[in-house]
Amino acid sequence: MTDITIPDEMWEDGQQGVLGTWYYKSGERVEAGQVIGEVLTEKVAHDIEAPSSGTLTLVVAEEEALSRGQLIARIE
Amino acid sequence: METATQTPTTERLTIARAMATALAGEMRHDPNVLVMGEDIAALGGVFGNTQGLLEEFGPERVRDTPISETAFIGAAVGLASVGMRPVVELMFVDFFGVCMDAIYNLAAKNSYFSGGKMPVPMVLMTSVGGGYGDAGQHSQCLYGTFAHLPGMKVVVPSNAYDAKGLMVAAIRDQNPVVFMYHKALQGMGWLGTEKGSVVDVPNDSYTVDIGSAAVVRKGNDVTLIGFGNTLHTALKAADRLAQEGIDAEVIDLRSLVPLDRDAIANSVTRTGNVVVVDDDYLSYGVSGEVITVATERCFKSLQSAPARVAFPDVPIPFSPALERPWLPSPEHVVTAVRQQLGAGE
Repeated sequence: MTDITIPDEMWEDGQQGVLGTWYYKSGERVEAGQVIGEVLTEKVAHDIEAPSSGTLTLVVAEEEALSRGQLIARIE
Repeated sequence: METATQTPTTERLTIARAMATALAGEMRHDPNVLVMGEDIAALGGVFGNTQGLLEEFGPERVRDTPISETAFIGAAVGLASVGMRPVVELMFVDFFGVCMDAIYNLAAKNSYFSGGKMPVPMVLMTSVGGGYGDAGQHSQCLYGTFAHLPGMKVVVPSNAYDAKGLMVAAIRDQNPVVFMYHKALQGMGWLGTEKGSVVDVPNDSYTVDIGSAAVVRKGNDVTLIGFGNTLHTALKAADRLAQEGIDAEVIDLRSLVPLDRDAIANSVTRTGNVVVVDDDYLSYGVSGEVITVATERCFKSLQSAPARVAFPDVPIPFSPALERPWLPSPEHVVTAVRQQLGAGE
């Protein structure tokens, strides 16, 4: 099982962020390296890539606020 | 559980990524393809549709231009005339005013003027649409403005699959093609993303025929016709109508020029009712053209007056409170269908 978290380098201190879009649903298969979603910080969009291949489980819903290091999805 | 690594044959893409994938594929396939425009190289496009091209193909073939549409779209017409296949971006369709001479007097006409000896195989890609409070000079669609002028093809994808296939087809076409992509469908988070536009796209190259519409939902009671963003408006309306027992067929035009008149006529002949959804201005536009086709070709089959939902004939307001209610919505479409069928209220 692989946890997908908000990378530290994406986040500056005090920054606000939100889960923008998931391109896949829980239960769908994803392949390592595929862009599976998008996180928004201020006006910048960051791709979320699948770190491994497997079945996706979303932990955070779209439009939910995020913080640095937060778990947003799992792949198993 | 991990399984043996295998390359997937499809990938779920936004329209922006699908456009970039199509461009990269054609640039690998044909050394004459190049891309020019404002912020298309280092930034990867304000709307994300040229991401990764500069890194792969370098600044000779992926060129950031000064803010002079007159210069670089004129240059594209020249490049196309001598055998290159330029793809140029007009960042917002609203900016066409300064470069329209190159587009409609040169690109659109030179093939005719030269007896076919000097075709202009260029692609003009341009963003359209509002809904995010960007006011009257950054929110227009202007489909009708371009579709009215002969000599250019005009395509408007509603999803990533069509975006890739139409872009490949546009680049290979011998005619100038205006590729109009809607900001609400690009998959840029800050603009919101219409979910229905993000679909699985084959990794291999393929084309979608320019000039063929698609029936995306079968139905018998009324034909809803949309394209680009309004296709999704029509689909949502169809879902609501289904709850009321009204069985709507939904057609995605995909291409405005050539217009798939047969697809319109075949559907309306069967359903007898038609509502066109267009986020361009109401008058003198695509909605009027589609209704004319329905009237000319299906007059005896019509059971009600064709109807349309479009943006009122005023400049698009900045204020979200003014803009939102005027943009075509599923509610507008449902109301139009109810009135047409005399159902309720």
